[in-house]
Amino acid sequence: MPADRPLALVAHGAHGLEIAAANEAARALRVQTGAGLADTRAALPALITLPAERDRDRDDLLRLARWCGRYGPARHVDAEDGLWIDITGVGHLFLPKLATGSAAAMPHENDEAGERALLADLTARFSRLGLTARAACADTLGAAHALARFAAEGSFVIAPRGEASSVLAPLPVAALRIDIDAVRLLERLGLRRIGQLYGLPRAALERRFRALNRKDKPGAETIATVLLRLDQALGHYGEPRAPLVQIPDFTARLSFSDPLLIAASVEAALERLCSDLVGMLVEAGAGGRRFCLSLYRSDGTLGEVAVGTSTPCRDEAHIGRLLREKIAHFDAGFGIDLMTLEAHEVAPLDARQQGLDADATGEHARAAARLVDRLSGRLGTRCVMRLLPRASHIPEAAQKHAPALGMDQAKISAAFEASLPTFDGRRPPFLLDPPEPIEVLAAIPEGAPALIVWRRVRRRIVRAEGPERIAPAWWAAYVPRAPEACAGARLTRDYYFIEEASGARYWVFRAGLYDKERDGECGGDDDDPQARTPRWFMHGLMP
Amino acid sequence: MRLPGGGAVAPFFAPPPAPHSQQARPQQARLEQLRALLATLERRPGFDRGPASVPAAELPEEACWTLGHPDVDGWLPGRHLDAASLGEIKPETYRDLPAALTFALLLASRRLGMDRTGNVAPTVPRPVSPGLVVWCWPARLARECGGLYGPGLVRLGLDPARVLLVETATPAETLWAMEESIASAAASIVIGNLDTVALTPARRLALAAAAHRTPALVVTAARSPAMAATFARWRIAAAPSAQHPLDPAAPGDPRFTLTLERCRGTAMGAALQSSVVEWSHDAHRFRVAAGMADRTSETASWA
Repeated sequence: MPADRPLALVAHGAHGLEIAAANEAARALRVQTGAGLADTRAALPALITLPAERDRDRDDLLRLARWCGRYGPARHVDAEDGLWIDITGVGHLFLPKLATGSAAAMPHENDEAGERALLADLTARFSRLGLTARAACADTLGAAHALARFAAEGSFVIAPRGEASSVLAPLPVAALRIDIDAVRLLERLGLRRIGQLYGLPRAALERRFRALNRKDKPGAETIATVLLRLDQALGHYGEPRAPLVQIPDFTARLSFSDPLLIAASVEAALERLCSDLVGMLVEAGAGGRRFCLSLYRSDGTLGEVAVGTSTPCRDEAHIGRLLREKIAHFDAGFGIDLMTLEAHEVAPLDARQQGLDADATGEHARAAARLVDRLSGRLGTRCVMRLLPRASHIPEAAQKHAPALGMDQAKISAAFEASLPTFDGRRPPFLLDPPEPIEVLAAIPEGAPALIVWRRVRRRIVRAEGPERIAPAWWAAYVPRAPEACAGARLTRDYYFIEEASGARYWVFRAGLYDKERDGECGGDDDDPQARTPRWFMHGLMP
Repeated sequence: MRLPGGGAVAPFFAPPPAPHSQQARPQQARLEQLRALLATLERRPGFDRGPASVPAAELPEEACWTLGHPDVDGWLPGRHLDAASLGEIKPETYRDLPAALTFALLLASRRLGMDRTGNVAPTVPRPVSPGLVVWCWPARLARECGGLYGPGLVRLGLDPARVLLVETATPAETLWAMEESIASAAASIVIGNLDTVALTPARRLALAAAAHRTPALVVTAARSPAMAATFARWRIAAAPSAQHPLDPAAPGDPRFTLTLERCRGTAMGAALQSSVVEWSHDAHRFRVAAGMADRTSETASWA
């Protein structure tokens, strides 16, 4: 689409289709955002229109916000069309190497120069991506917001430190992040510039606004919002902002003048990042449990890879190995020009002497943690599991599978040790969960099965042991039935250990007692003999 | 080498006992040299297993991994399972898959050598290996055969606290997980479940097992072709259980029809051994079933 032809995006508004956004050429022809499409078309028949896709705009903006992690860890989307980045203490990183030499002498000036370099870099990169960006740097988010939208004449503007009020004074009140009604109200009162609000007595202002109540919004609330936004812009009132991603505890970064394209060079860079990060962790006497590698592609997209470890870790080789596996099939696109490696969930980790450790179990535990890290990293934490006992006499509830990542061998052993007494009796090594319904032919109603049909195969039973009666938990009647509870969860079970003629052995149970219990879910009324007949289930395969 | 059965038996490939006198024939030394060379060439661990008179407590770790009965162990070279190799376990038919999986668990139980109650199984001189049992299988199979159940494993003498369960989506993932686990110092035994294993991955697993001295067992499908590079191939079928000591109508200790189809280090003809073995839940060891009970009368009573 040529940029010199008028183009507008349209969306459904309160009065039919409205212009949602227009390009430079269209704006030059007085196409206004918010105007009806019909009117605009009448005045400018040559206008090209496309439907606006706000969801995708939002997604793209988020993607851009992620990519902006190269300028500072704390960043997020600002309103519908902006991004904010906290660049406190970041500026000097963007100075040319020669200039950093004088950093100690004049930190203040150096910072400003760094900020300028950062914004120049940012706008240059955006324009290379084909995006028109206006950037501003100020002490507060509110001031930066206002400056970026209403003051930037060149590509960016920087408000000098502590001079937010003088910079903001000539800007229109609309720059204060207030809604259009509030702006109109202020303009009716002759308050057009932000500077005009500075000197006004607040109490009087509130009193005056209270008289201007509208049915949907009281005037007092409007002016309170205006004053809050003003205070925030001037830095009199704090404005906490949740960043897009968690701020890492330690970050190592490596940028490249030539984008990396080959997997081998990315791996080499990863190695260096790992050793940098581990250096920081060693200095702090800490280890991380989550490591996040961000690969910034030169086309403005970002690849992120995260790995977790069982225990706090600062082993360079281990972290590198986990990450290398994840980036094995990474698409470098047009090249990677920046890589950062972050350590999250940092916990203290004492220095350990390598090699002379006589503690075999400790060494073994470390090896186990490594193995679990690697398996979980590639297969997913839900696929690498440990068995954990649970205090229940219902067989399927007596154990659970828990992700092995971060689990302590000693604790698992202790848990099984504690639950040993409950492990009496015959239990199968393979338990079907949920139990599978089977058809059973028994010699006598309360007796052991003589023939079962499981998975459509008839199996003649030659030996049986049982029953072992397992009653439901008495409190189960008082709690609502969990949707995932298996059939017959609230019925008395009679378990039989049976053997087929061929030697295959099973663990089956009958849910419910004849003529006494009925499973509510069996359906049918009292006269229905089917509903009264207890059902049988296959629950496990015995050795 | 002292064995549970009693007598001292020379390991299959260890050098024969030193001659009593000094006048050993010159061929004898040459023969030993050649044997040593052969063992090295074939990568057979066990060459360094030492003379036959080592007391049990000083046996190398891998020599302690046995099935627990002299007759069955006698099928194997050196009378024990090879801890640094790859083994294949095949069910006789599809319906015997649970039996094959159980056999793998039982071998793991023998490998770990200690039961939950802290009693060292009587046939194992000491806890053989302190590591994990890594059990890799496709998630599909976990639904088909049921998940591993701790209380049931306790009964087999296997410590459920030491089981690491890995569920995979593809055979390639299973192989990768197995290889990783073998290479880790944490694993005592690695058990995988795959329908069939091609030549190259089988060789990789075997080499990894030999390099890290961690045994790997693969339970394969009944009808699939035999795996390459294995030390031994077992074929398992469920067999009618032993007589229950108290109740004639109840199933007793589990029995399996165990066939050693192939075993490296044994003569071709001798390898095909078959027997009905019985697992003792009390002693946590195998024994050869002492004669099959006449079951016709019982069968008739149930019919």
